[in-house]
Amino acid sequence: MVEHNGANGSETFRGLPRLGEPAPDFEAVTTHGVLRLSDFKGSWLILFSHPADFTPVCTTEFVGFSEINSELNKKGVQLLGLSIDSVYSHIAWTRNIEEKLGVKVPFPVIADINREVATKYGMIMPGESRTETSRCVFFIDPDSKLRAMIYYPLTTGRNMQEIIRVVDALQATDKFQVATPANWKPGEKVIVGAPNTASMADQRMKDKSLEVVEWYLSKKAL
Amino acid sequence: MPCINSDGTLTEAAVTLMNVMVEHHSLEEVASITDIPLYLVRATARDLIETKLVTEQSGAYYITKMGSDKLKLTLAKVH
Repeated sequence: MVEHNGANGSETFRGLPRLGEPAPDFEAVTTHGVLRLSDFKGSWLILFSHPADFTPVCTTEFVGFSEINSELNKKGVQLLGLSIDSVYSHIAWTRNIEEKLGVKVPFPVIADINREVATKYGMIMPGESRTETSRCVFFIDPDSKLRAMIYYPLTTGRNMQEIIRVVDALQATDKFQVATPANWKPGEKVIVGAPNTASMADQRMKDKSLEVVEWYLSKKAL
Repeated sequence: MPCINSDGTLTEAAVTLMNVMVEHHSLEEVASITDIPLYLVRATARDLIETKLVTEQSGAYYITKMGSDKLKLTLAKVH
C-alpha cells in the first residue's frame, strides 16, 4: 500500500485496499465495546463509513442500514459502521435517531478518532475532505478476505438494495462458482464461465442445457 | 462488549454468557445457546478472560471461582 504525502506535508493518506486480499486487520473502540476484525471471522462483514454523526444524509443512511440489518443477518452478514466521531457522539446520535425517527440502530459503530482504521481502508479522500471519511462500503467474507468495495461521495446517499444485491451476488458466486450479469437478482439466470479453447467453444454452442447467446456468453438457472 | 458495569456488577451480556459457561462450551456453542452474535460473544469472552472471570482450555470456556462469586453477587443485587 503506497502512502502519499498530504498537501501540507504532514498528513498521509494510504492507498486503497485490494480486492481478493486479506482485509486490513483492526482493533477498535465501538458502541458495542472493543471489537477486532477477527471477531467477525466465520461470518460476512459489511464495514461501512460515514462522514459525520448528526448530519442529514448520514442519518437517512443509518435508518436505511438499520432497516436492512435483519435481512442481512439472515444471510449471515454483520454490519459495522465507522466515522471519526467519538463513541459518545455515536451513542448520542443513535439514541437521537431512535427517539426522533423511531429506528433503533442495532449494529456497532467504530469511533475512529485517530483515523487508524479509516487510513488502513483508504476511507479518507483528501480531494473531498481531509477530515471526514467518505461513504465507503467494504464486503469482507467469512475468511476475512476483501471481496467488494463501493465508494460514494459525501453528497450521495447509498442504495441499500444494491448492498443486499452485492451480498447475494457474492454468496451465489461462492456457492455455485458462477458469475452474475448486470442488474442480477436472486432467481434470475447466472453467467457460466466462458470456454477457454476453440474446441470447448464448439461444444458450448451445442450445449442444450444452457441458454447460449454466443460461445462466450451463456446463462443458466440455478 | 464490556463485561463490568460502573457499579462493579456484571453487564447483562456477561451474565448471559457466564450462566452458559457454568458448563464447558466453545464460543460457537455459547453463541448458539444464547442467540447472541458470535462476534459479540468473542469480544465479551475476551473481556471476561482479561478480568479472570472466565478461563479457556482447549477451546472450551468456563467460569472461574472468581467468576462464579461475581455472578452470584450480581444476581443477588439484581434480585
